[in-house]
Amino acid sequence: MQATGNLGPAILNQLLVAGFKVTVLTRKSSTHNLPSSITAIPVNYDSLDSLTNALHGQEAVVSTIASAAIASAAIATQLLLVEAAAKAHVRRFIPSEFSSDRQNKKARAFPIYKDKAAVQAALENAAASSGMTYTLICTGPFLD
Amino acid sequence: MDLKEKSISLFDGGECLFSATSLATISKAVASILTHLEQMKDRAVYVQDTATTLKKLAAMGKKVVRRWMDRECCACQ
Repeated sequence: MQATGNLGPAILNQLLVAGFKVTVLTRKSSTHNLPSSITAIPVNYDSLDSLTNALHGQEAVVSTIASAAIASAAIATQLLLVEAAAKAHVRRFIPSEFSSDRQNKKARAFPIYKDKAAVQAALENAAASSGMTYTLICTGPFLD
Repeated sequence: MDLKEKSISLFDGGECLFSATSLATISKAVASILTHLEQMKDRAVYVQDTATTLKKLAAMGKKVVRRWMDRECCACQ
């Protein structure tokens, strides 16, 4: 998701180079300039059904929903995405973790990381109930 | 770090070491994780291009930009 912005396009290009078959979920209201080798599925990010249907048949989900968005209502979006992915029997979920250190207890007290803690809790629940697995990629701030 | 404003905010002294990574490296990590699903299952993976401090970045800024400014900040603001 979120293949616009900075990180999304970079990941998208690398996945294509590596030979993955990529589907991008786009907002129904937005336009995009994605290459034709990619399948783009417009979704309603507020609808569990819309997301679940779009994710059927996908092996993995890579979320690059922006951190700034996470601090606001968009945290609900990522949580809904986790729920939809589990429902659609996605095998692996990679949340938009990236620049935070989840394992550091002091860091977890910062407000922005509370939302990321909620996402991790949702992932652990999904792992227990549906067998969906996750990977948290911790990178620190972006150099570019 | 703000290149337009030619300044950096040095949180809590700016000496804390942190990882930083380029978009290219992050992207390669994602692709690699997706081809090693079993080893990367239900865990955190740490990726970095470099470990640096805000003070080191400030020193680099001063070298390449004229009239560079360091701002001391507290991270609890």
